[in-house]
Amino acid sequence: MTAAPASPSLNATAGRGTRAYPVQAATVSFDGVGKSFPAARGTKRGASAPGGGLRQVLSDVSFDVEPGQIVSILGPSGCGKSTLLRAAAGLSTATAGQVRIDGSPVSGIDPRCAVGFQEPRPLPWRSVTDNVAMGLPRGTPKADGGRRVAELIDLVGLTGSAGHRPAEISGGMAQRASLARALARNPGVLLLDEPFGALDALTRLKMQDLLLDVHAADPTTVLMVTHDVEEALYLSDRVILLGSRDPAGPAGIAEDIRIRVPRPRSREDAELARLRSHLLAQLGVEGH
Amino acid sequence: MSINTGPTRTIDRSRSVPEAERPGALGPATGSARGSGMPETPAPVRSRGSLLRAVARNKWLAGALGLALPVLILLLWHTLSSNGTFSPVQLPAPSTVLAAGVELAQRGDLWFNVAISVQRVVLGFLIGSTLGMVLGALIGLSRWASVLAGPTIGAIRAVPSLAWVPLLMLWIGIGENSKVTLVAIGAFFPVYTTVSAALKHVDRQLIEAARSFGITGLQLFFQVQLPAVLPSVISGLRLALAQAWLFLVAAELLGAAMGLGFLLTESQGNGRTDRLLLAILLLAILGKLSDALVGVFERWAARRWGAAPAA
Repeated sequence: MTAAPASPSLNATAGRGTRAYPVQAATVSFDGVGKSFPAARGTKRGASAPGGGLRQVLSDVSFDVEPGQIVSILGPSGCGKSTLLRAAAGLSTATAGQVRIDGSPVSGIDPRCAVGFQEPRPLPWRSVTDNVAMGLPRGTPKADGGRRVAELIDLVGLTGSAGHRPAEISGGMAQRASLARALARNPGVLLLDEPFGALDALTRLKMQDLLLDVHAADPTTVLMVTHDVEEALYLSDRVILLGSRDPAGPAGIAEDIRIRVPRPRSREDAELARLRSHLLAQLGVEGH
Repeated sequence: MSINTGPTRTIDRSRSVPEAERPGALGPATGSARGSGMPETPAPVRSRGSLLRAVARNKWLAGALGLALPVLILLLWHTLSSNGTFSPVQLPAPSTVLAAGVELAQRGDLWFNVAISVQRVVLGFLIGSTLGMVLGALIGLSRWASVLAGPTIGAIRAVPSLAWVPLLMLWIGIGENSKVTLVAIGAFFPVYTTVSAALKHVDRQLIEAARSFGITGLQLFFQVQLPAVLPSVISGLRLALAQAWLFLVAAELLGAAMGLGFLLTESQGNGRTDRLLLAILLLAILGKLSDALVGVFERWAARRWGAAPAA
């Protein structure tokens, strides 16, 4: 359960020199992305909304994520953070604009993306190893796949539990397995949807450090959704704050903040503290 | 915006609860003992719990205890038939039934009747449950199939299955085919119903996660959906097997020249209560044996795919 096992294994991985699975960190471009949902029948908002009972959640979201960066999407709950992420993953389609990865538009499930969900969502009847192997790209030779899975399980510090079933490990360990499964896809973009949101506070801090370790070993592009301001600031190169002036209207980019604090960061860093007060104020939490 | 995290969390919590603390697992007993405020109660409760646990661990002990009731019934039967409470025609003694069995076995009739009944059940069960699985999978997986064919199959299911008997006899005749068909109808619906319903309720989050890793179509079915519904499939097969025996006896009672159901009607006709009881005992034994075979399959499947979440 500690983050400590990850560090030595990390060195071991890095020590091999040439990596068999080079990560091609990709650029993600959001280009005027908007999303509307059919309004629930009978709601006042749906009846009065323009556009025939459609409720617009996101409107005209445009930004580029540079390769290898960690970018957090922050915003009040229900503002469409996850919707944006799901559009990038191809799990749902935007109703306006498009998402492009390395210039080519996303349509359907994209092999260049891997998703880590808030819930680890393992297949309960498979061992940790077999669950991680599920993330391997189609057609990976068996021997290569096995080596890669063992390497990733080592990276997230689960070697001792590799043969266990999901019901036999803790929530934090399941979330590590979920991260390893996503990395097995060797993704150009790692999409994380509130990945640590369901974990206890202590485990969450350890998982954040693990993510940074993993990113140092596999410097892929990471786009994550979170509602935790401190998490966003501690991890990210850049924070996109979603919001809207009109509470009933669609959300757009309210702020785009680049964080130039070098890593490793201190959680007590003065610059981060200043940004934290600012972002909390933006999210409507005053006096911190 | 996060997607429906409620159910998953609840499942996780229930998993982490130790067996003994789950409601229903010895829970009420300890609860009421504590509630009544008697200081001496915890000790007896614990000893009863540990005895039960010992029985659960030792399968020979459990088997022996399971035989206690049949032995008691046999003793009671013997007493009631030998002390004149019932006449031999109403209730022949266990030894008489055994003798009737030996006599039939020596003539070869017994094995012949058992074999033909088992053959009908096996054929009908295989045909019916296979069709049930295929159609259940189709309706459970395809919304189009569900919309187009679901109501029709539902309506056919609403027909009490024995109502088909006259039609089957008219169409197929009184031979083997009509009996196997009736057994197949009996085996079809439990499998169809459980499989189609279970497939409709496979955890959407699991399916979405698998899809996000590019697993679709047949791969999705064999890697995610089938293992997820396996417990339901097996309980469907269990029900189907019970139904198959039920429909076998119905078919054989209504018109047959051989089989255990025929043995029942024939014995009723010539007043051989001993053979009647023998046929009932054989049906009980065969039903239990075939159910045990499904149990073997269940354990094999659990090893192969692991303990899927209890449905």
